[in-house]
Amino acid sequence: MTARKIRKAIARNTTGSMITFSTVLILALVILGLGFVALLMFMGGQSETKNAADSGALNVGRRSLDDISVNLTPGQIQLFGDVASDNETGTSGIVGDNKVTLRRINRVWAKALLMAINADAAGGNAAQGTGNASNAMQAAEEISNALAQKLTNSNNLHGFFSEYASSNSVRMLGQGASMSIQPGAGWQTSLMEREKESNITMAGTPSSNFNLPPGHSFNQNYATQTTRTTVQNASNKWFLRGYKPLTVGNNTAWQVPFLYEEKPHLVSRTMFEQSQASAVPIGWSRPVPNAFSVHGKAIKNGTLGEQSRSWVLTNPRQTYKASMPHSFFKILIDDPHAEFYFYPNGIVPRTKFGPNQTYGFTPETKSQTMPFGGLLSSSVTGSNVLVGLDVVGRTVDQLIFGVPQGNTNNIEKELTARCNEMISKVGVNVSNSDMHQCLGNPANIGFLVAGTREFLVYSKDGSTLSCKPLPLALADAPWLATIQGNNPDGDSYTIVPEATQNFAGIHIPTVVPLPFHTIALQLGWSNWKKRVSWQPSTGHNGCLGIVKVYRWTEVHSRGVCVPL
Amino acid sequence: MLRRFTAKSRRTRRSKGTSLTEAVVAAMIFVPVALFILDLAVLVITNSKNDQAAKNAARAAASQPAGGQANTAAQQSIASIKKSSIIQSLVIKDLVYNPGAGSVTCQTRMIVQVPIPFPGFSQFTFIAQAREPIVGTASK
Repeated sequence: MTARKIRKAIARNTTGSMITFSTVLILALVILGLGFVALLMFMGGQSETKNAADSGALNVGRRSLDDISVNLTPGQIQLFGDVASDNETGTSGIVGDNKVTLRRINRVWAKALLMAINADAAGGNAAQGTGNASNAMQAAEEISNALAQKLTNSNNLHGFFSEYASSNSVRMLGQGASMSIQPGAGWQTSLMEREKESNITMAGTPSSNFNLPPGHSFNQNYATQTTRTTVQNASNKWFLRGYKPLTVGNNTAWQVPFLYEEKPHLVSRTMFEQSQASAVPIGWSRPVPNAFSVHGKAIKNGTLGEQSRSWVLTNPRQTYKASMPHSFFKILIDDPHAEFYFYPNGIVPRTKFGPNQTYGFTPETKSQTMPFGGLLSSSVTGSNVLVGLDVVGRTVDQLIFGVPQGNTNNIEKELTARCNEMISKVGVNVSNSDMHQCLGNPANIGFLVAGTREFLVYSKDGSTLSCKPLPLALADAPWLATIQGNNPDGDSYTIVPEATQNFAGIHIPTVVPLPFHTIALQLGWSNWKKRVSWQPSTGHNGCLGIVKVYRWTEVHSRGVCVPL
Repeated sequence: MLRRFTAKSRRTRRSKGTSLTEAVVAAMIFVPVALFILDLAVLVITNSKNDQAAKNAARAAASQPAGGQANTAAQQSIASIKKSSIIQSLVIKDLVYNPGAGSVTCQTRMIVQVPIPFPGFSQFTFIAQAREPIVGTASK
């Protein structure tokens, strides 16, 4: 090859390599650029998948509160039908649908807890109450277990996830890409916010023992104020603690924590997994969860694109009060009567003579003659003694708590506690004076005069108390019709021992001296007497107890004669 | 000697000229492609941002107890995204707060100006939609 030819060949090779290099460079850059765009789209798709999963998770949290339920059996309806409702109160009682949901489960447990407290407070007078409280707690546990089983079955949650996850776009992954469920281990439950507040408030404060019956001292560790620091108007509320065994006697109740006024929200995987029952057990054999994890995948044309998991902590944002909305207690007023006492020996001992003479709620006069009823007297007569002033014009409250006073502390606490158990409206706490105001219904004075001796105390709407005769009570609260005849399960005992108001009245007895004797002393007086018995009840059948009031007047007639 | 030098110089000049021409031709193809890819990347990023804006607005609205507050919350959410010469506008096209269905649906519209406009390829309008369950209400 000549030198000229070689030079030409070199020149041609140089020119060709530049074109080749440029072409390769352009192609490489185009591929890199398109790869970068594809990476951006992939990352966008990842974000979309995550967002879609988050939406689905939030919906799982929201729908799990209400749309997974357990139907109550007839026996369970009798026990918990009044708390199987979303309504805190109702104008004529709470009407539910006999289903228990995650929103309502704490109400069921709280009612069972109140029954256990009532049985415990009754102590040796609990009688059948102890067994009834245990049965109620067992029924609550059965309901809770059934709910837990449904909530931990992820198949029941899949639809809630898809409802929102699939309606959110994952178009970055390409046309036709859509979000669907990824069944399996990604669907878990957790027990978060342990020992923090549930959505059940107690009546009152620890200093007032939460207005519970006087025979029971409530463990103050079972209640807490809200653990949130940013909520308003929560300082006066005391909540039961969640995921903490609430043991009363041999019964243990549970609550699911729902922080006050907190919305359902997403949580981190770490926190979720740290609170799982498998990580740290809580002693509740079948706990009802309050947090869920979901797992979804974004698929385009059957090929796996992205997967995403999300974790949600749910909360109904609805607070209830530990209560038995459809419950009542009865007040029975025994017919008052007069008992006549004489002093045949002049001073002591006294002798009761003649039958008890009942009187009504209007002033009456009663007479009783006892032959030889006074010292050296042929007869002593308590004649035309005015009786009834101890009950005339008195309300039911005054009949129980009025003169003669006696020790009414315990009956006052018992009745106030029962009133609080009836009230289902959050924040409404019944004080002793509220209870007295209810029992002091002046309309009942007329009913007493007319012969009514039975009164029911109940809350027709969950926020106010009423004390009325049965017919009026039934008109007020139709739900009473099926339960008003139920009897207490405890034993009756005297809660206010015999109390006396001495010398409430004075009269001059008629004294007939023996022959050749003359009257030296004729003195008569009346003592008012009162005794109150209380028959406690757990409330398992709606009845929270019966108060029975006994009132009577002792008419004392003393006659003393001396020889002429 | 002079003749040989002159010939070599002519040959080098021809070679350099060819390379420059090739580089210019390559650049004429490469630069628009690179710029187009840049535009494409911007479009992908802004579209993703619009999706995120719709999602955030829907979630903010879903956390509110009523429609009026939901609208305010959604607007505030959108307002936090800064406009620029690329993102020329971002607005809520439609917001449906439906307590009955328990859902919020939010549509956002974003107008994007590509940084390197080409004829017929300068401004884009993206629509994104997000649907969220309402969690701001106490009752179901």
